[in-house]
Parts: sequence; C-alpha cells; structure tokens
Amino acid sequence: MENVIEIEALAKEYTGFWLKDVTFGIPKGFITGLVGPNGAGKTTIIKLIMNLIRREGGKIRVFGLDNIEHDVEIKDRIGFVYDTPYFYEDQDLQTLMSTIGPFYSKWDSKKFSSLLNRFGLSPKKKFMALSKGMKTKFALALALSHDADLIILDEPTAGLDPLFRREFLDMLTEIIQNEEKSVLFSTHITSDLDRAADYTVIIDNGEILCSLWKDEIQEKWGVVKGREDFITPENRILFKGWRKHPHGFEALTSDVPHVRQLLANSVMIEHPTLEDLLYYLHAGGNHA
Amino acid sequence: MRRLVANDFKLNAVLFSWLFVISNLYYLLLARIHMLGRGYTPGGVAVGIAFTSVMVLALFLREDQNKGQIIYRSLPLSHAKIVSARYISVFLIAMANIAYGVSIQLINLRLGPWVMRYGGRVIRDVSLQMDAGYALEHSLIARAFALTVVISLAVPLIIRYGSLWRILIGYLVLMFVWSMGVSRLLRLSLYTGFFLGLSRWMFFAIVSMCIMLSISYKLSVWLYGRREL
Repeated sequence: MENVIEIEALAKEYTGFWLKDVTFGIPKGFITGLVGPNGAGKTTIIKLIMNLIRREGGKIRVFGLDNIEHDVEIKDRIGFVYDTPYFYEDQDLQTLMSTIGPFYSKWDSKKFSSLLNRFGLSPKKKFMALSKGMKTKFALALALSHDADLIILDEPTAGLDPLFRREFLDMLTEIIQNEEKSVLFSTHITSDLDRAADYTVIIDNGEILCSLWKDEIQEKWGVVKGREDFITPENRILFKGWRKHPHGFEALTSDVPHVRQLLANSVMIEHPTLEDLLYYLHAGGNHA
Repeated sequence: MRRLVANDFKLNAVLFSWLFVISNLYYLLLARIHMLGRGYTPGGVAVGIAFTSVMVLALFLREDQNKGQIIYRSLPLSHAKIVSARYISVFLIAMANIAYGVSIQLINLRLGPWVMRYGGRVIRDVSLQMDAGYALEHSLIARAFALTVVISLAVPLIIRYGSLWRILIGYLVLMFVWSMGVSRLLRLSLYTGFFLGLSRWMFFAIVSMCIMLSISYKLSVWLYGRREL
C-alpha cells in the first residue's frame, strides 16, 4: 500500500518531553487518526510534518518527497487546519481569503465562497467576531478550497458543536471518495475517530504505541472481562493492559482468537473502542 | 513576493493611517511647545525616519500578535520569499515616509515665508542644513548608515526571537543607541569625507550599506528556518 506520509526514526526533544524514534506511515486514500492523550506529541508530529519546527533526527517524506527540501511543493498540496486557527483578527473573512488563498496554485474562490455559505459564515464578518468553532470552520473552508491531496487537521473538532462535528466527519469521508486524497486527523476525542478513521495511530508520551486498521481492531483486539483470579502471572502475558475492579478484571488483548481458545468459557470478550485501546495502552497498561 | 508585500500594506492599512495621523500631530505638538529646541524644526529625513521606526515597530508587533509567522510558514512560500518581502516592506515604508518628510520640508520652504507673513506660527522656516554645522550630505550619509545598521540588526533578531516584549524593549534600546549614534556617525562622516573626499566616502558608505543589508538578509533567511513556531 502506498503511503502519503512516511515518518522514519523521527526525534525531537523539548524540556521534559521527547519524541523517541517515531516511525509510522499514513496510507494514501484513507482517513488516518492520530490519537493520544494531551501532551502525547500529536501536535509536535504535525508541526514537524509541516516543517514549522526543526527535527533533531529521522526523516519525513510527504508525497515521496523530503518535507524540508520540497517544503513549498508539499505545502501547495496540503490543506492545513491548526488546533487554534490564527489569522489577522481585525480583518473580515473576504480580506483574509484574498490575502491567503492566492498563494496556492489551485486556489478556487468559488469553492471557498460555497463552503463559507455551507458553513453559515458571512464573508463580511470579522475574524475576531467568530466563535472558536466558527474560526475552525473558516480554517477548514480555506483548507478545502485548493484541491489539496492531503488534509492535515490538528484537533479540529475540539471547539465544534455536535451537529457540525457530525457534518464535518461526513465531509472528511466525502474527501477521500476518489481514493487520491488522504486525511490525517489528530484528536484526543476518540469517538470522532471511531466514527471516521480507517487507520489509527496511537501515540503516548512521545512514542507510537501501535498503528491499526479499523478491521484489524474489530478482528484481533478485544476487551476481556472475567473473574479476578484469571489475572494470574501466566495469563497476564496475554494482555496489553488490564485493570482490576470489585467485580473482577478487564483487560485488552491483541490476540482475541488465542484468548478465546485458552479462556473461552470463563471470560467475556467485547469489541474495543479506541478509548479502550488508549486507556489500556497508556502508561504501560497496568491500571490495577 | 509582490503579494506578500501587498499583504503587509493591506492588512496594516488602517493601523498605518492612524500612526501617520498621530505621528504628524505629535510632531506638530513638539514644534508648538518647543520640545525640539526653540526655533528648531526637524528635517524631513529625520521626520521620515521617526515615522518609519514607529510603523516598522507596529508591523512586526502586529504580525507577532496575529501569529503571522505561523500563517505564512503554513503556506507554500519559501523562507527566502517571506524574508525578502519583510525587507522590501521595511524599505518601502522608509522610502514613503522619508519622501513625505522631505516633501513637507520643501513645501515649508516654499510656503513658510508666505504663511509666516499672514500670521502662521506652526509651520516654521527650515534650512536645508539638517544638523547645525554639517553639510546636508553628511547628515544624509549618517542617517542612511544608521538606518541600515538598525535594519540589518533588528530584522534578523525579530525574525528569530521576536515577541511582544522583546520587540518593544529592543525598540527602546535602538532608539537610545540611535540618539547617541547619529551624532558620532556625523563626526565620522565629516572626518572620513575630509580624508577620502566626499564622493569617494559616499561610494564607500553605499557599498558598505549594501554589504550589510545582504549579510543581514542571508542571516535572516537562515534564522527564519531555525525559528520554532
């Protein structure tokens, strides 16, 4: 499978935080979710992809090109929505569009106007008069108006109301219909990814914990529930993470067939949500 | 790049207009209350440079406040283009303000005596000599040199380290150094012009300014890539 982004041994250090040897790929033609708790390193990875900060090691290839050497060419094909949309606050949306849009080679003003209309934004409205959700909508309209091959969204749903959030997720699905376009979408709201993401990369504390296809999660991963005495030292190796509670235990496994074979009649196995995955994989998985 | 420069003026048009009006009123007030010394009116170039410093300060502060660097860095624009646009904007602001200052001075020269005859008190007669005891050429060289040094130092530093307080403090420090430096540069210009001859000194000064600006530009492009946003 072709990857639109390939990240290899990426390293970046801040005081008290570092990305450690991060390696993963973003498949072309799909929605990929980058999920992790606050401070996990999602925004750092996105900033490194966008060449907004300097990497200290490793490689990033976007569309098969090095992201530093081919910075301009790559950014022309990316629609980017930052977690906090930044624009000149006292300008109206029309002026902002005219100052930013034409830098893209495939800029489409008509598409931008129709998106503003669809999102219920008036071009005469000043940016500072918009709510956070509306600012994100505006940033999204800019990102979707130049026929970008890759849309990168950093925590875009954080300020959106539930109705628009659903519409927004449907829009992402529309974008990838022709299989040439891809979406990378970082969030800590895992329910958004449950709904929209085809492929998920889980990150915690600067490390990639796992990269999974949606089908793979359904087929191989499961939340195992049973009596506490099943959490024996021998059984623990079957689980990626576990927790005890007054009525027994819950654990995450990445090998449902094997667990079913061993403990078939004594435990209950459920399909995990991304939140389950994140919860059990976080901090080494032991939540006893 | 033309679009980037145009954006600087378009996005800051209202602010520049206000600063222009306020700066004019401020200078009129200074002349009125004899803050600049009785009978002294600042030369057109000096007024232009003073206006420029305020507008350039506002340009960078506003960019910092609105995260302009993040906006531009996310767009398909090379670092060299973004930095070049910065220098061109600063240059255009300086030229526009100096041209304004000089034209006001020329109008004063023409209209001053006529206005004075009919009771005008605000517009004063000015002489072509900008600094007492120095030929106009030395005043121009000293100011152009000082302006080039300030731009060559300030732009790379703002590009790499610029934030609200750093820019403001840097501005105050530069204003202080400017007030001390121009008189020294005037003396330097006078002596060097005496030894080298005025035309050779002017040529040397212009070449030095071009070298300073090109080093500053290269440094700015390099620093721009190193800034973490």
